[in-house]
Amino acid sequence: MSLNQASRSAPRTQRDSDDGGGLRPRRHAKSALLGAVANHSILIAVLIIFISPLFFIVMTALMTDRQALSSAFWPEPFRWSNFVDVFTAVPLLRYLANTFLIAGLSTLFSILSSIPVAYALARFQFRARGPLLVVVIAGMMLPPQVTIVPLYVMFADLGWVGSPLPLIVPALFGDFFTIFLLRQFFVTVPTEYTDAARVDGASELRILRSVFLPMVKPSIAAASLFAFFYSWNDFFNPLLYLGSSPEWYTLSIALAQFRTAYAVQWNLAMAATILFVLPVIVLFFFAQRSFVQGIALTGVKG
Amino acid sequence: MTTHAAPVPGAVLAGAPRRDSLRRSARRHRLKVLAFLSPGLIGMAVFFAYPLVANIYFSFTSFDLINPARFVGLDNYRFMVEGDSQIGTAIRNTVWFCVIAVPVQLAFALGVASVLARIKSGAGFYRTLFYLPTLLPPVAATLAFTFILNPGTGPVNAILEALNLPTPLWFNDPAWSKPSLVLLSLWGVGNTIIILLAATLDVPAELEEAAALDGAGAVRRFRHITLPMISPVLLFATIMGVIQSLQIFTQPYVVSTVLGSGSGVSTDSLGYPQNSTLFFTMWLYQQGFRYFNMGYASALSIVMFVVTLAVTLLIIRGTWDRVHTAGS
Repeated sequence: MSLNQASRSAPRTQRDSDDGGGLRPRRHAKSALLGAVANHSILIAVLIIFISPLFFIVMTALMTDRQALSSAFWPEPFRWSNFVDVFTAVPLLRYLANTFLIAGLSTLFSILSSIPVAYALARFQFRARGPLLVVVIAGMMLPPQVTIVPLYVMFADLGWVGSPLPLIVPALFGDFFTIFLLRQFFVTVPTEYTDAARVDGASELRILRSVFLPMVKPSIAAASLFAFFYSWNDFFNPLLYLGSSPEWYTLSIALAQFRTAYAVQWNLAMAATILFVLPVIVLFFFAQRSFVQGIALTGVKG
Repeated sequence: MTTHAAPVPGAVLAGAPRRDSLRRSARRHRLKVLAFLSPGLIGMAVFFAYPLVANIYFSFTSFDLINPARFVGLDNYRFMVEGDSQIGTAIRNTVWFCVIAVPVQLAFALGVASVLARIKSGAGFYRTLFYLPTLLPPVAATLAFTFILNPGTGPVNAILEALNLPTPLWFNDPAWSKPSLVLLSLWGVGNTIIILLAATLDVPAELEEAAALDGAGAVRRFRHITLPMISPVLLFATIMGVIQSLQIFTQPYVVSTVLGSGSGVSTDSLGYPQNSTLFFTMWLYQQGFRYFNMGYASALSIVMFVVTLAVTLLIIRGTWDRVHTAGS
């Protein structure tokens, strides 16, 4: 009897709790929606403030000289010709070519020279591997100022100060950040394919070139991007080695002196800034995914 | 069974030649490793190890690049402590910047990352936009901020004025120049957001759910679950932030040359206004590459090396017990 009663009441309690359960998800969905709205509102508000400087840069770049000196926000009229004028106000084309040349060559060289080093650190067993990795990380993290005096003396002795050679030649001998980034990518690649090629008797160089590299193309692309951005954005080294030879100025140096040389032309300065930034942003949007993965893997940008 | 026993004597007999071939293959392996590493090893020796050692030597000399280096013992270090009238300012400014900028950057990045971790859709879109300013070349970002914060022509003070808020002189006021640099540094916080977001998303969802079932609110869950779980990444971000703040150079240099050189001679403008943005690396640069006191600049960079190492070790040792390492 009691058992029967119990069994009869059981479904009811179950239904009761079912009702409650039916209500709870609805309340849950409502609070989740509210939470989502709150989160998105916070993000949008912060984001608007965060990227408003970009908006002001673009607006100012389109203003007339006089307007750029006022506190107006909106260009009237839109002066698109600023982007043409800036090329005559400063030898911008030349600086652009210099920066592309230096960044392009140093990227190419540092990728080519860092690949075998990263491959060895990721794939070969040898006793010095651990200590070597520590040296790479230390070299990556230490401020460049720590080695700058002897390096400058060395390049001065070679007669390279005033030429872009100090910014390009060291890239032929590996770059700490590129080595580390590539190594972080390389250790995630499964070993089956390279092992199979090794069993087939292929030489290690051949394995690297025809088996391994085709598998890691995205990571090479990401590492190239980091190296290019580093060189494109660098100011300290170009200032040291090219600061006294205007014919080799990079965009960084030229822009840092833009306003001093041309009084108060904020509109042209901002137009030049946009031209300086544009290649970086375009490249970033093409390779965003592997780029972000690279940051997550190493924790740093070049 | 019999076939199993047979190879044993054979192996003993073949022992000597096999050991020989083993040794040969070990040597070949070592040569292979060396060949692959060689570009990096040369680079490390010439562009890293040698300069680190040579720097110690130069710091004991008086050297102007033209005349041969002259050994002067501890003179450079003595001058640093007793004679250099600017170094105190440079150290104070650098410490100020590290102590203020790093916590502000981390708090902001952590705030953004934890909100980003909670939204279901669109995180990638926000992340890209938050990352965008980090891509800008430092010179470009600094120039943009110099304009935006420029009193009279920049939009920030126009907005503040419209809202009846105080309008500081930002980079032109010694009291506001360093806070302005902190604002600028916040604009480059995209890397930190990305690594903190990746770490937050790696926190197992079951932990959060279990705590939520036990009645823990969002704040407590963040404090007792998310924060300990991401502490290794937070520690790493702190170290990187401090190292980067210790070497701040480009931003104050550009601000100083753009705003401080009405006369056009930029040497005197470094640290504008009134040396309030004279940081350690700027003083090193000025000594080494404007005055060509290479020996003294070397001594300064030795100090920088030691301080960077010491601060990094201190941060690691001071926080190690509180950093969650199990399972990561």
